[in-house]
Amino acid sequence: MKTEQEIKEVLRQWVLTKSKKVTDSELKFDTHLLETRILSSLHVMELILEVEKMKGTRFNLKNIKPGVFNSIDTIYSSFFGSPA
Amino acid sequence: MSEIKFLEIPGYRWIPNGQSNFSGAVLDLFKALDGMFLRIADQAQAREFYFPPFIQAHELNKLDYFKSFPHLISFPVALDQHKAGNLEKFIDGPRCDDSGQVHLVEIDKVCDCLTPAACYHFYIHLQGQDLQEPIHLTTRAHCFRRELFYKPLQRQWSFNMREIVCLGPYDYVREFVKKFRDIVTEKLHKLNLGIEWDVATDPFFNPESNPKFIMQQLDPVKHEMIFNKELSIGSTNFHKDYFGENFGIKYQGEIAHSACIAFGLERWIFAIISRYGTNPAHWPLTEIQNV
Repeated sequence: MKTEQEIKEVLRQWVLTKSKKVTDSELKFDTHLLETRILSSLHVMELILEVEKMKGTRFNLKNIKPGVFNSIDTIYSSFFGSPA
Repeated sequence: MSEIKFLEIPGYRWIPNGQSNFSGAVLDLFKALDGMFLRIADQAQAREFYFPPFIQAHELNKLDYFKSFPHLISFPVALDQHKAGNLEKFIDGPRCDDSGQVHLVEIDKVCDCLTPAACYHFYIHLQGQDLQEPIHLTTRAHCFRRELFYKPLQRQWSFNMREIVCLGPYDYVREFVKKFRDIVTEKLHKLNLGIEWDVATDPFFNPESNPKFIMQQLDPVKHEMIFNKELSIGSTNFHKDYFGENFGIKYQGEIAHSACIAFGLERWIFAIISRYGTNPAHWPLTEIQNV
């Protein structure tokens, strides 16, 4: 079982390999991925598949909420964080 | 608000193919509303453009338009004059039957579309340019969107859209959207139209399989002016660098960002008449001309 830090780092590395708009030193866990289009819409679809693979479940895209893919922090808290 | 009796609107004629004719008082209202939008555009010192009704299909294809909105697009078609006997075949055939359906023969290559949104013309016009200053532009275009059904002034195949567009760096364009949403809200308040702003997505075909729709859901960039809790009469849309990237438009060497404010003229007329009735004496023409 991966720790929070490890999961976030996997996601961070995924973003770095896909996007040419951000460097290793620039990309933090709270960097906004969508507002400045670090990730394109196609990247986001791929990232959804990646998170589904990591979680082992399919998401209902109809119910996907604004903000959940804003940053690595929000992805972690939306899909991997413990329920309150 | 009672149901509108469209036959009672002076100068108004509904054509069941999804279009409206205006004359007299309702045409005056149309002009007054567009004049108000132009004054808003003037506040941004927007340069006005006129564009023709066709857009070349290969330009819209750069936006994946045909995949995203195949249900909305309309094409101008013409009979193929190069194929021997084709026009004669058309003349000799039923041509147009009693139901009004045209019986086409061979049609020429289709390389154009009828304008689906006014602002596309600007990005095509500016493609490949490197802007040195932020720019503001405005146009009113006849737009065409195919629908499964039509309703007078609310859902039309052809309608008028006034847009104000801004291109420049990210922060500047974001500020433009905020500033002009406030300006429009203030004018709406003065006209007592009961509008609410709401987050919106574009009407994609098969939305759940379209990355652009998912992106709009995750990071809302479009807000609509909703009249009477049900009809969108306009919108603001912060495209970020979407059009800049697809059309190679730059701002001082970096990909330009863009945003637009759009007003649907027919829907604004609907809103005014819903609120104030079909008698032009009750329409707030003076207010519209002065706000």
